[in-house]
Amino acid sequence: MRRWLFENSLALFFFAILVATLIGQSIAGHAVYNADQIDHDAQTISYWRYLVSSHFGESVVENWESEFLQFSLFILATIWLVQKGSAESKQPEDVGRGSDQSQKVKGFADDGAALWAKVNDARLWIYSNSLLIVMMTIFFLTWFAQSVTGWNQFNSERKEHGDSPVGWAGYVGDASFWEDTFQNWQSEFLAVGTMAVFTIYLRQRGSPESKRVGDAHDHTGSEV
Amino acid sequence: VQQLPFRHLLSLSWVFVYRRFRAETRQPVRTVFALYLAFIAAGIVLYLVVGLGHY
Repeated sequence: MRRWLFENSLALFFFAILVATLIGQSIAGHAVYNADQIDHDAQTISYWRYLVSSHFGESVVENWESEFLQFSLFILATIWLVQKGSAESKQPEDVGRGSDQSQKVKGFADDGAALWAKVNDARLWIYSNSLLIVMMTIFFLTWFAQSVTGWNQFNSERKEHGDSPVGWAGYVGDASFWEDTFQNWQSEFLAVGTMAVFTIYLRQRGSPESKRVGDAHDHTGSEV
Repeated sequence: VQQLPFRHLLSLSWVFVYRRFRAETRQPVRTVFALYLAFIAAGIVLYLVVGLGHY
């Protein structure tokens, strides 16, 4: 059991702080929501009802979508784009999707490789792009979930002000949807760009996200 | 399945994907992979139902 915890400590640590911060967000969000209801002489709701509200749902999934967009774009962009000296970049001469030999597919696959890495049909294409396919799928689904929960919120506020509700397409074309979207995207792009650039000159000893402390500034990639 | 002309199409079915997942992944690492995937899927389904269920 201790061995299992150690070998999965990275995933388990982030899952634990994910759950803890989601609980924190829900408690704070519930307080904000009910305070707003009281200000508007409206009915307050229980904590459990708040967990399945569009108010909480939108604030959760609008952050999720931007994270999955961030990583999806990073996975995609780093196939062809490089940053000389960055720990997050591959070597400039390695741009592109790589040869079958360098990617160890078909006859070059390891004994323990997935079956879909060894075949030569559509399954190889799917498996070769499976990380991006799944990340992009999650991005689009969470973005859609953001739009429908945000739509509910938007119409609730319109109702409070005596305005008629708008359709989903009307909300997606509204500036408020795009403000919520862009404010999340810009911070993700800043963080990714910063990681790509800062790791040229800055180091964190022991982290695979950094080059080795003694690597030259023009050494690209974190691999030995 | 191997003898059917649509075997590649069938191979993409959920049952096959699940079987492939079981065959390709190894305990104990499979557990955290499934944990993350299930959590994300549950969140998406829940808030899609919340959002769309209102209308």
